[in-house]
Amino acid sequence: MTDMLFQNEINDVVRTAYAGIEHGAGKPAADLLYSPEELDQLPEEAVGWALGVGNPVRHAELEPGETVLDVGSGGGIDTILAAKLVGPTGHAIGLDVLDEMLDRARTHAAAAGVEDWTEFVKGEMEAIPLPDASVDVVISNGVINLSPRKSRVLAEIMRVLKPGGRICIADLTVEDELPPEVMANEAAWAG
Amino acid sequence: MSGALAERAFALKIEKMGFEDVWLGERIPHGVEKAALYPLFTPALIDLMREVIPADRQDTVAVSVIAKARKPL
Repeated sequence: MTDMLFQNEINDVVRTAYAGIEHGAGKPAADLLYSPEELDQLPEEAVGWALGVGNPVRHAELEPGETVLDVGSGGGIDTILAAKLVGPTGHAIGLDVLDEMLDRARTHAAAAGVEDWTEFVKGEMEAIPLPDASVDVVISNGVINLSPRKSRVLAEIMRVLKPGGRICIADLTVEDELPPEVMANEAAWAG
Repeated sequence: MSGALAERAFALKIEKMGFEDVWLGERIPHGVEKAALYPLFTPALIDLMREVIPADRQDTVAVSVIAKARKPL
């Protein structure tokens, strides 16, 4: 029970932090992760909402016609880039727990011209609201580290993938323990 | 960042879930000054990180990695 309470506290901290921000890391951060050609495909407002830590789409080997799920889609940058690659014969799905992010991502996808084959669904990464074996590729960018139940997240990703389906996940790793003062700071669980 | 795993632990978790052909690459260091670009890191947390994280680790507090794998057929 104590562990569950701790997990719930972390989830609350993360959701509150993400719900409270009014912009992303912006173009300076996006320039470090995406090529000029990729950024040219994105609405300026979407670039402003960059919050990722890598570029999973670059490595996902997406093909036209595939169904791709972006776990923790935020402002929609990676979902939009994936949608451009799978094209109108494919399907791009962004998953996020926050209504504010889902609304932003839908606006950005429409501005990018991919809204006809892109959808954003509300849900938790620990309980993905998609059927079994319904997705060809799962991407994610800097989100799984935020979950206190990472095995559950990976189990859900495994469930929704088709047999032979792929994952391409960018995420933070930390080799040496952070100082206790940092670990104890709530913002460090969301950042 | 506080919830991030070590790279090997992350890879093991993916393998234990049953994924095959696990590959990790494209490592990007993330330091304090880069973290300051992200609004989720509050100014107080950035100041704290500048103060308590050793100088030789300020540029690489965490490392992002790309993990690729496949669900068995």
